[in-house]
Parts: sequence; structure tokens; C-alpha cells
Amino acid sequence: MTHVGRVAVAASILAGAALLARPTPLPSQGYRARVDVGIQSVRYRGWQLDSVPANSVVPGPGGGPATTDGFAVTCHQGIPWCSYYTAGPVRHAVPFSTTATATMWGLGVNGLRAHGSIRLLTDFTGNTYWPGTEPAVQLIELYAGYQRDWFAGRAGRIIEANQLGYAGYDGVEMTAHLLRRRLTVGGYGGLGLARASLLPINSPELNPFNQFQLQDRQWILGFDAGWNSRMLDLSAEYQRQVDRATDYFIAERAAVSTVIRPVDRVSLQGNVVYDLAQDRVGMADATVNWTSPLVSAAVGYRHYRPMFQLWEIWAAFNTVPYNAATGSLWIGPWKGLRLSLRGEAYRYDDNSLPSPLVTVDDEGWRTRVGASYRYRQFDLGLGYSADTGPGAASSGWDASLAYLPSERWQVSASGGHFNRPLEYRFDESVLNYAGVEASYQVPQRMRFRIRADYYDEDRNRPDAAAFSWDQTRLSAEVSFYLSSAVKTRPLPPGRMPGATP
Amino acid sequence: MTWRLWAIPLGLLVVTAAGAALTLQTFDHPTHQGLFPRCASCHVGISDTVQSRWPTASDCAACHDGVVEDTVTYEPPAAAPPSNLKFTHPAHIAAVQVESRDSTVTCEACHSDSDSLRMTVTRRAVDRCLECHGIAVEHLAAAPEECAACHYALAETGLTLAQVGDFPTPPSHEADAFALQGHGAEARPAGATYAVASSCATCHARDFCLQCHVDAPEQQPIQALASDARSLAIAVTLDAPDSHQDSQFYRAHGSMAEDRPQTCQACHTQESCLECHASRPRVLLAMYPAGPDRGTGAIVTRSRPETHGEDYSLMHADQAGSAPTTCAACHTRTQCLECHRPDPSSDGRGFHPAGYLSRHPVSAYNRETACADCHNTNQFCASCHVDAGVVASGPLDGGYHDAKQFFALGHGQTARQNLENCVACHAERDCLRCHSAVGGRRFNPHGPDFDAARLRQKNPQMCTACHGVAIPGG
Repeated sequence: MTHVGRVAVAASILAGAALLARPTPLPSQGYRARVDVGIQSVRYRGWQLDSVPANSVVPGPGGGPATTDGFAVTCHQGIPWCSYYTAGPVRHAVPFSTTATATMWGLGVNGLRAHGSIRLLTDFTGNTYWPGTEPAVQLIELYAGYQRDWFAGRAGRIIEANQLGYAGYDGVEMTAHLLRRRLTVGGYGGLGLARASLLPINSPELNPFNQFQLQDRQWILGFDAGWNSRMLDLSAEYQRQVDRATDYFIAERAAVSTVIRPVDRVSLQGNVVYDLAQDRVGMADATVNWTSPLVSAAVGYRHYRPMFQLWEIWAAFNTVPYNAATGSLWIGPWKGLRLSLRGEAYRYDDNSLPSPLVTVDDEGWRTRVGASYRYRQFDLGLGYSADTGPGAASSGWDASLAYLPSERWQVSASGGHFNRPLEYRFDESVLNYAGVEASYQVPQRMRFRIRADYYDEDRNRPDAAAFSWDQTRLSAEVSFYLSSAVKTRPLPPGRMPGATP
Repeated sequence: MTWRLWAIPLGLLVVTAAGAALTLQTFDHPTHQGLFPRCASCHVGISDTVQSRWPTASDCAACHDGVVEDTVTYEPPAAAPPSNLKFTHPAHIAAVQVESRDSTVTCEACHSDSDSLRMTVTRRAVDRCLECHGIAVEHLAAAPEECAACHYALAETGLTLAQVGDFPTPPSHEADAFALQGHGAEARPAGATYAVASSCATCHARDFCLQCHVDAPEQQPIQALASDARSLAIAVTLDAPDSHQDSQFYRAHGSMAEDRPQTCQACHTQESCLECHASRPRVLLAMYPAGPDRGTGAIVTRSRPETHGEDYSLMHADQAGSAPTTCAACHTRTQCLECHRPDPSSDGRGFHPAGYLSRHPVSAYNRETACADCHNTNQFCASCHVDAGVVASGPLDGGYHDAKQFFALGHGQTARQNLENCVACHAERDCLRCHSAVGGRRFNPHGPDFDAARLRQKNPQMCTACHGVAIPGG
């Protein structure tokens, strides 16, 4: 076990012991804490790039060039070698994590509270194959918050969540709730973290390709305003990220999102994210929903264009968006039975770059049909899904059966079969998988889950590069919950029927 | 001999049946109407508390001696069943004689109809009670304060559980709104001088109210009731009011609770709020915490709102973005971060379906959702691809995309459609090899709607990656 691994295990034990010790808060003090410990064992086989001299290749089974032992190779005129991918070594990863989260209040100032969440990570194999396991200590959030009737503020490591995404930063956020909390106005600013990461943008862990990277953390600044009422929710957000060294923009975006409820059971929701840096719409969607206890339906439109930050060169590569029509239907015809249907068809905009050498689709669709049935303590689920688009496709069925003997115990088994062809590489993968899972929970106290999966995957090719990608995955998770609040105490009955007064 | 064997049990059966016919189950008053001039001849103790009001077996045997009349079997009732009636014959007779001196109030006045033959009697006298006492409605529809005229409060009686459970339901209790709105006003009408109506106390005790009322200690009428577990023999279920069935109730109940917290207090504890609420709403302090002298109240079960359908995880962004405080009522940031800042040791279950690792290429190519909302492309996608060996580690002729013979030459459309997917395996230097205007082959990657001036204004450093210091137009 590595040093970091020993530290992570010790921290887990200490955190569990601290929870079991149940510190007694002073009057008016309170806390809520949670510790999640997880471990997973994964074995999988990767690829390995190899090459042979160009003059040693022979005609392969399909007529193309191949090595003498049957691997199809790619040769280019003027280059003295031909390259190919073959099966790589088996990778074994055992990522282990401990995440401790706590919120405390009653700190002497009415409305003041502290919140923190930290994650310790290691891989027991000592390897770094598994993504996200470095660095060993990752701070998720750590801030002091102050809240009064109409004002709220936070300072510290914060993750801001809005339609522009989840942006982490070390800084300050302030929010004012006005007009009986119907109007919310706020702003935030500080030193930002990398997109979708707990690490700063200049962290070496974010540079696996050893390519361009910012040297300093960026400034992040944002404003938002929202209106909430029974019929209308409306919000607008603006955010910019600026390179501290050059004062150049890294990102500048704005978003407007709304949910309108004109009549009971009907809602219209929409969202537009505008990339101000490139003066074009990024993500957008609009959906009409109708919900009832027995039927739920939605139809909508979706626009997707990836948004890259301006410190990368990708923003200059003019990606084209796709526009999609979406729909979903959910029906509960009788008690316990639920049927669902979801579909989406999309088409990319004209990319102005046709090539006679490579023909590529510019449209696709995806769908899923599912059914689940709950009978007494059993829950059965069946589904078929298909996803076809440029680059890759997937289709197959899945099934699951859960046995729920009590609120605390749950045992389930699942399995499925999928075909997954790729478009740009000869690869007609066939996947069969099965998994079993058991969980036990004491509501509001702890939860334990253990799971085992086996994936039988054949990556079929017409040459020797076809290889099995079988995997066995084992995982276990345990979560502890602790709180000084009344919620963690069992609900005491005032007087149950038949009780003696 | 066979018939004799049968004769014995048959004879016993006949004798038994004949004897049973002579056993007095109920006294036939009309048959005896010419024999007894006064009721008190047999019911000797009707006007005093010392002697029994029932005749004895020997009284019957005075005539039914087997000579004058056939013998009969008679046993007077051992004791009157438990009752909640204040009425007793001696007290009533004395009261009538002393207070009203009404000589017309005879036995027949209550026990016989006016046009019936003498000694045609009935035990049921409730209607006559109501009539004499001026109550002009049905028995169970009497005014709340009038029940105490004839009945003891439940806690003062010796009624059995079965008797309490068999109490008839008054018509007022059948009204739809009675359980949730009407019974409080009936328990203590406005301006009433009593703490609780006798109509409640007659059938109920505090225990009954505690089946629902969280605010029992604060409700004077409930506190005015005695404690008696027998009241639980009347079963009651706490059903959610109609207002709670509205599909938008989960959104509206917060302001409803702030406007009229006392309405919620009756059935909801602080715990029932916290069953769903992750935060501590202000109105929580207006609710009472669960306690031993309070009712259990409504048992709230946390469940998905109707709006949170099967695929809600795919479409929750708009609602979360436009009304984050609504989400925060039931969800903590930790729950959001489970997906948006995933734990590397987790198997990812919950958002992605089983076997997703094998299927992820199709999602990555065509982005059913924005992967980069939860996964940093470099930290998550690229680092894994590096370790798995499926990255461009040098020249573009690595041969991975071997299904398209001229993929490297014709990759433009794919790149424009799926650039997010490309960068999971390709570094910027791979593209600059051809697309750079300085050290590459000067293939222009910009599309027709490329706004060079705008990008140059926002971040000219990006332009230098390809153009060096000689940025066009710069």
C-alpha cells in the first residue's frame, strides 16, 4: 500500500470513529456530517501502438496490408514503417476514496455557518491508471456562510451552480432575496478552478498530453438574477473568466432559463446559453411537459454546440451544432407498471467542409423503450435502447430484478446485451454483462452497498487485432450520516393506537 | 335392541327441547296484563337503590309451581351492562316527584306507547327522553352541550372497548370537511363557556385526538378531555386534504405554511417537514417538534414529485437553473456534486446505465448530454485514454481510424461535428501539425462564420498558437 493509501485508510477510520463518538454540540449549536468511503477494483485491457517496417507487410485477409501475424496495418507513402494497434497489457486499478462533508451552525453569530467537503484519494495498486485519483487530497468546498432574512453570503472554496455549469472558485458570493424572496439578485467572484474539476486550471493533473496550459489561475466573475413565482421561474446569468497574466478572456457567457406553468400539470421550460466570446448560441433547449399521476409526456427542441475555453485553440475550429427534436412518454396504466418511451432525432448544421475522401453522416437518432413492474417486494425492469449517429452506434436490451424485503435491504441483479459498432475503426463490439448488488441502509444513519459486475465484451475485427475486453468490477461503498438536528432522531410516536396512556 | 339404543338420545333431545320451551328468555308482559295491577308488584326495587328492580325466580314460582301453572326457569339479570347513561330509575323517579311533582310521569309514560294495551312495554326510551327534555332533533344530532344531560364523559364510564368501538357515528361526522375543518369548531364553538363540548367527551378522550393532533398540548379542548386509552377503539385515519392532491402543491405549500402555519401545525411536526426538506425553512420553527404528549401527525414519505419523471436527470437543468431555491428545499449540494463532481472510486451508477463504459463512444461522439458539465476532458477522458493507450502519441498516421482509408485527409467534417470527442485523444500539437500557419501546412480550420476580429479581441494569445505574432488583421 502506498503512503497516500495508508493516509486515506487512516483518515477513513478516524472519520468513522469521530462519527461514532457523536460529539455533543453546545446548546444552539448544530452540525450535519457525512462520510462516504468507496473502493472499486477494475481490470481491463488497453491498446498498444506498434509498428513494422513497411517492407515487411503482406496482403491481409481483406486485401489490405497486414503484418505477417495478421494485424491490419496503416502505411503511408514515404514513411518507412506501418503502424497498428494491438492488445495492450491488462490494467488493474483499485481506486479508493474518502469524502467527508460537514456543515456547522450556531457559531456565535446568528445566521453564520461553516461548510466543508474534502476528498482523499489513492489507488491501492500504486498505479495512476484510474482517472481523477490524483492529487491525493482534493478540496471540494470549504466556506463560511452567513444568512439573514434577505441576505446570504459565502466566502471560501465555493462551487457555483447555474445554467452556465458548475464553476468552482476561491472567492466570495453574495445573494439578496427581495420582494418576499420572489426576486433574487447575486454576484460572485474569485480565483477559478478548471472546468468540471476540483483542481486549478494550472494543475499538472489536467495536462496528460503535455500541451498548452495556463500558468496561473484565472479570475472568475459572475452575476445572476432570478424571479420565482407560482407561474413563472426566470433567471439570467452572466459569467466571465479572465487570464490573470494577460487580462485576456478565457470565457464569457450568458444564459437565460425559464419555467412557465400556465395551467395545472403543464409546464414550458427553456434555456439558452450564449457564448459572448464567439457571439453565437451554445446550448439551447425548449420543452413542453405535461404530467399527471398516470401519464407524463414531453416534446421539445434541443440545440447543442460545444463551448471551448479561449486558452485552447479549439474555439477557432468552428464546430457545427446539431438541432434535435425530442420527445418522451411515460405511462402508468395500472398500479406497479410503468412504461416509458423516449426518443431524439438530430441533424448537424452544414459544416461547409465536404470531403470526397471520407463520407460521414450528419444526422442520427436515439431511443429507449422501457417497462418496469413492481409486484410486492419485487421490482422488474426491462428496456431496449438504440443510439445511432456519426462515429459510433449502440443498440441492445437490458433487464434488472430487484428484491426489496424491507426498507433497509435491497438485493438486485441486472444484465444486458449490446452491440456497439464504431464507424471510423473496424470494431463491432458485442457486450454481454451481468451484475449483482446488495445494499443495506439505516435511514438517516448509514448506507452500505456492494456490487460485482462482469462484462464479456468481444471487439470483433477481421484481423488479429480483435481481442477480448472482458472486465470484472467489484465495488463497495459505505456512507455515514450524522446530525445534531432532529432529523436524525427516529420519529417518536405521540400515542400509537392501542397504547396505554 | 337397535331401536332402543336410538330411543335414548332421541328421548333426551325431546325432553331438552320441551324444557327449553318453558325457559323464560323474555317475560311476556301482555299475557300477564290481567294479573299485576302495578309494575312495582314485580319490579319492587325500581324506586330504591337497595332492592333489585328485577323479580326473583321464586316470584314466578308462586304461580308456576307445576300445579297451578307449568314450571318455568327464570334467572334475573345478574347486573346491568356497563353504560354511560346518567339515568337511574330511583334518581329519575325522585327527581320527577321532587322537582316537578308530576304525577303523570308513570312507568307507562316512558315504557309504553299511548295507544298500546296495558303492559305492552318496550325498553327503548331514548325518543321519550328527547321528547320530554325538549330536544327536537335525532338523538345523535343533539346540540354539543346537550349530551351531558344524559351521558357521562367516556372516561367516567365503565364501558368496554367493544362498546366504545360500537358507538354509532353522528351524522355531523359524515360530512367531508368534518375531520379536517369542522370538528374543531364543534369541540369548542366560538363564545362557548366550556372547555370542550360534552358531545366530544361522551365518546372520545384525549388519546383519540393524539392519533392525529400534533398540536394537542396547545389545543385547550383536547387538554380538557381526560386521558383514556379506550377511546382508541374508535379507529381514525389521517387522510391528506384535497389541497395536498394538487400537482403544484409541493411548490405552493411553502407560502401556504408561511401564511397560515397554525393549519399545518395540527398535523405536521418539524420532523415531517425535514423528511423532505434538506434545508431548514423558516416556517419550520412554527411547527412543533415531535414529543411524547403530541400526536404522531402526518407520516410524510419522501417521494419524487410528478414533475420528476423517468428521464428527469436528463432534463433537470432548466428547472434547476431557473429556480435553484426550489431544488434546494429537498436537495443538498452534496447530492448535486455526486454527479457534477463525481467520486473517482464510484462506479458511476445512478446517472449512467450499466455497461456504460463500453457504450460511451456513441454518447461521446454525439453528446446526448454535455459530458463536460461533470467530467473535465483532460482529467477524466484524456488521462484514461492515455493510460489505455488509445491516444495519438505522435504523427496522425497511427492507424486507429482504420475503417476510413483516407480518414486523416477527410477528417474535417467529423472534427467539426465531434470536436469534443477528438480532443479526448488528440493534443493541440496533433492539429497544429497541419493547421498551423507558422510551422504547419497552413490548412485553414476556420469555418465561414468564423469571427476572427471578435476572437482576437477576446483572446489574441489563442491566435498566436497558429499565427505566431503575425496575427492577420492584428
